Amino acid sequence: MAGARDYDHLFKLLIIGDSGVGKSSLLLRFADNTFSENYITTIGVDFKIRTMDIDGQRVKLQIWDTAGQERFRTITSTYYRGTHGVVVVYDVTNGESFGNVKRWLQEIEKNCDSVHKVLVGNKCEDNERRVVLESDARNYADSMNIKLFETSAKEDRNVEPMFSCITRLVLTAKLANPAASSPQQQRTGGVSLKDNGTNQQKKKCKCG
Amino acid sequence: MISPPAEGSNSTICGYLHRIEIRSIGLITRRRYWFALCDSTPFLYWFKESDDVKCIGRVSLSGAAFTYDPKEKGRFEIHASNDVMILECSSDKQRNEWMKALQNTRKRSWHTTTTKSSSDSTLENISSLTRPSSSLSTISSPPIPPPRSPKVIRKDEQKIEESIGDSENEPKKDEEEIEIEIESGVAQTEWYLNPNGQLNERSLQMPKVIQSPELVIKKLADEKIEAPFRAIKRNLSSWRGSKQSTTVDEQNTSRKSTISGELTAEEKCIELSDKVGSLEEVVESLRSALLLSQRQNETLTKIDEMAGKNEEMREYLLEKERQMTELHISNSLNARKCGDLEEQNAKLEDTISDLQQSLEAFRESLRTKEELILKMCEENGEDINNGTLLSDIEVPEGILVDVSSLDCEEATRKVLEEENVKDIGELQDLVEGYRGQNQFLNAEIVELHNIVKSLEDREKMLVRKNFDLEACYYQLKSRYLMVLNHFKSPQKPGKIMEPGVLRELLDESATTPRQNQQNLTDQLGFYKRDSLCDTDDLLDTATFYMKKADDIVEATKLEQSEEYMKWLQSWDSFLVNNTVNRQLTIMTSSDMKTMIRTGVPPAYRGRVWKSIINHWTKDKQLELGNGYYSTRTLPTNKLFDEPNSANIEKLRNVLYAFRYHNQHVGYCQGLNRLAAIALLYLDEQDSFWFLVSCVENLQPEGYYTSSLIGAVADQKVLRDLVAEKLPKLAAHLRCLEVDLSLFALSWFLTVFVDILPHSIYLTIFDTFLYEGNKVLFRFALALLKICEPHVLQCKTIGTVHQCLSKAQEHITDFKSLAQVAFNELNPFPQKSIETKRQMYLTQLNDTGH
Repeated sequence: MAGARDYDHLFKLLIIGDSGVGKSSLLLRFADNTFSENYITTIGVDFKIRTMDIDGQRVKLQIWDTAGQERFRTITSTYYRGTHGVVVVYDVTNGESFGNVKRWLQEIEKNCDSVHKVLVGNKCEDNERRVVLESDARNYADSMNIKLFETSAKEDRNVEPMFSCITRLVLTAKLANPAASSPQQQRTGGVSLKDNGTNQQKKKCKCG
Repeated sequence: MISPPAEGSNSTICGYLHRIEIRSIGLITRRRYWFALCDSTPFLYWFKESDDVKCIGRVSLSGAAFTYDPKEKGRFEIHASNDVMILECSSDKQRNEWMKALQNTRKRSWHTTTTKSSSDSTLENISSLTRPSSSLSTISSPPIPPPRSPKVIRKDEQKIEESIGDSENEPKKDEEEIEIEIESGVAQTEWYLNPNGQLNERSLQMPKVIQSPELVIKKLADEKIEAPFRAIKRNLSSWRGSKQSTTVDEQNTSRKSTISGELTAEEKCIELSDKVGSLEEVVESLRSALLLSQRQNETLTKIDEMAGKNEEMREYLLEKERQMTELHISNSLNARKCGDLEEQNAKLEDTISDLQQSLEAFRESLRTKEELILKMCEENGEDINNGTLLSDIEVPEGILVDVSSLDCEEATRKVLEEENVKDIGELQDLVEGYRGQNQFLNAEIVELHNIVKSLEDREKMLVRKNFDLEACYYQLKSRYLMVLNHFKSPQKPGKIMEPGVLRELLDESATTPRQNQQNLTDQLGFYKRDSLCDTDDLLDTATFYMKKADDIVEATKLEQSEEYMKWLQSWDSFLVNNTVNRQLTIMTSSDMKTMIRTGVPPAYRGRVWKSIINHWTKDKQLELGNGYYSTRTLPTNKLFDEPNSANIEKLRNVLYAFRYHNQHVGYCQGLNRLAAIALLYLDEQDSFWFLVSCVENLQPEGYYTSSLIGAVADQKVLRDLVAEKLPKLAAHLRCLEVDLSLFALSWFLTVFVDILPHSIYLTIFDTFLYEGNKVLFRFALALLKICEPHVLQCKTIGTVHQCLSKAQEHITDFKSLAQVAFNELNPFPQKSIETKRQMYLTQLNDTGH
């Protein structure tokens, strides 16, 4: 580890969701403030780093972007461990992607102990093709006790607040209970993948 | 054994031919090679064997001429660039096919080059560049130099004079001397009378060089009869002027006649009489010169009277007198010469009549010979078996009258030789053969003439273009010089340049035709990210364009390098043979492997890929039938998100088709990359088969299936290989707790499409298609090896990620990557990869992955 750290906290965030909902675009908007209509599909996993200032604390975010396709799930699942926060993304113009949110939440339960989540409905600028109503999504999010954001990576709407929110959630939790918040990763700032899938703790679903 | 030429295409031909080489000391070698000719290139290639990858040699057909001798069975010659290549095939029929194919190929090659050059529109672009703009209108373009300098003209005149001298030897000598006098004498010599017939001012002064009468005499003796000519030079030159025009014409006619080789005696005669005429004129002029001298003498006597008793002067005049007599003598000499010439003329006339006689005799003998041949043919037709018939016919002695003519002798010898041909059928065949040859050669002449004409046209066009470009260049140069001048003298800027001119120049330079051509994308449609410079800073723009210029120069240099040419040539030769010989399987030799590892030239990539794919999926295609791809009605279901662009519809079709074809794999992210790459070079159907061969033949099983188990296993194999080949890097990554599969999974699933620039990954595709999955390990390790020093400096997972995801910064060309991949990493046994893979596959299956 570097001797002089340029940050106070290092958090690992994970972006999941169906294929084509705009996970990479959200990350690109947040990390590089760019947008591309034809961003290539993610194979496996990718990640970017950005440092944020939350309440005077410098927080370094290591944000992992995953492939949405079902068959990559076995590969992406190894990246859940040590994650502090998960961003679950669906596409407001694609009902199926919203329907799959439940499965993604189950995926989180399966792979993580305790983690903070936000639900994100992307492509909200495209009102013509919208099929998922914000009220329905909000109802669902409330029932799951998750915060909902409708974002547009294309028009840079709500992206920054969404990431600030999840970061703040993780930060407050950590400040409140420094010991409980996945101590291992906090120290090393890295992800251990060496022994993937061997001594993984699986938890039963808390909610249906 | 010669395989029959390929049917269908009229200019595609191949087969075994014998190459006959005649070396020094009359040694003749006869070797059998495999020759291949294809309509796509203007070269004839030859190989040791039909399935060889590398050619032995090639000959360019674009400027070649073909001929054959009907007496030599199946043999023909290719004349190209001062070299003759003699080839032999088994029959005349085959020869005809070869000749036809050769002609067709040549025709196509120059046809394409001319059409290509005529469609070239750079000229218009460039000339539009330099259109005068309002603020620049004050600038005048540099003066165009006159077409020829006076010096050249003078030289030409001299040439004319020289050529005149060739035809008339006698007057020439005099003229030449006069000429010298005219040129050199005017400035120095002081003559008594000036050109107007008046006394020269300084004529009474003694010339300084002459010290004593003896010297004067000596000098005059040296100069012979030159002196009086000075006085008559005006006369003479005017006379010459008129004569010149006539003699030039004469010269032309005589030249022409010598060129055609038929200078008849009559013409000689005319020429000679002309000479006599001119000589007479000379005599005439000499007479007038004499008269003039006499007048001079009188004047001099008068002067003498006026000057009183000047001994010296008198002596000098006496000398003059003597000189006069000399002139008389030379006059009579000339008259004698004239007589001589007349004699000569008479002699020549005699020769003419002699020649005419011999000509008559020659014609006579020819006629007799023709009759003889006809007679022979008729008689032989009556009695074929009578072989001795020919000798029975008496050959009149008169035939051989013309012993002086070599040609005739040869012709006779030939006729006699042919008389020795006993079989009349053979003779008829020969006649037929000659007729065929004649026809062929006529056609050949016409075609070559056409080629020459088109080449001339092209040359003219190029010269014109060159002039235009040069003009453009000077115009641009003058503008930039003006700008430089402007900066040199900043005190008075308004005088040199109006404001805004600089801006305009910059705008102009930004819209060069070259840039317009490659606007934003390259040939394959890949975006060129840094082709435009958007800073407003002048210096930045300047450095940017400077770098770009360097890049262009570098690229051209590379394209003109010998290595690059050799590489292209080897592929060219391979493809010619491959296109012609359909039976050739592309996957059989190690030579082929080495060649593929150097990469496939983009222009040939489509064809090479197609043949490799055909190799992989041949059985499947046969089994599934020909229309398998196109007749499927495909389920319409939105599977992936892409903006609407030209190839997307095709891409979708290919992927749908594949999903339908292989339901076990269906659609896997990453396959879209492969299909898109295929569509760059292949049509929809072949792209589909491309995908099939990638998934089902080239990658191991389970690579793209629902669990990606094959790909995951390969990541573990890679990790082992890295630990083996690059232990330092492996240790460092372990220390940073970085899993390589984070990066390498996509390398393997998409064949490096996501990480390397397309110029490199397309070449990786070449080798991947040929050799399969193993090269992915080679390239992955090579990539890691090249990046190793940079990765070792990284202290966090973030920097490692940054380093490896920007691998293209360290890998600039395919060659260096391939060098590491195929040479430095050896040994690289397939077997160990296979065992490791099996081990991990069972392990993964056991853990219920």
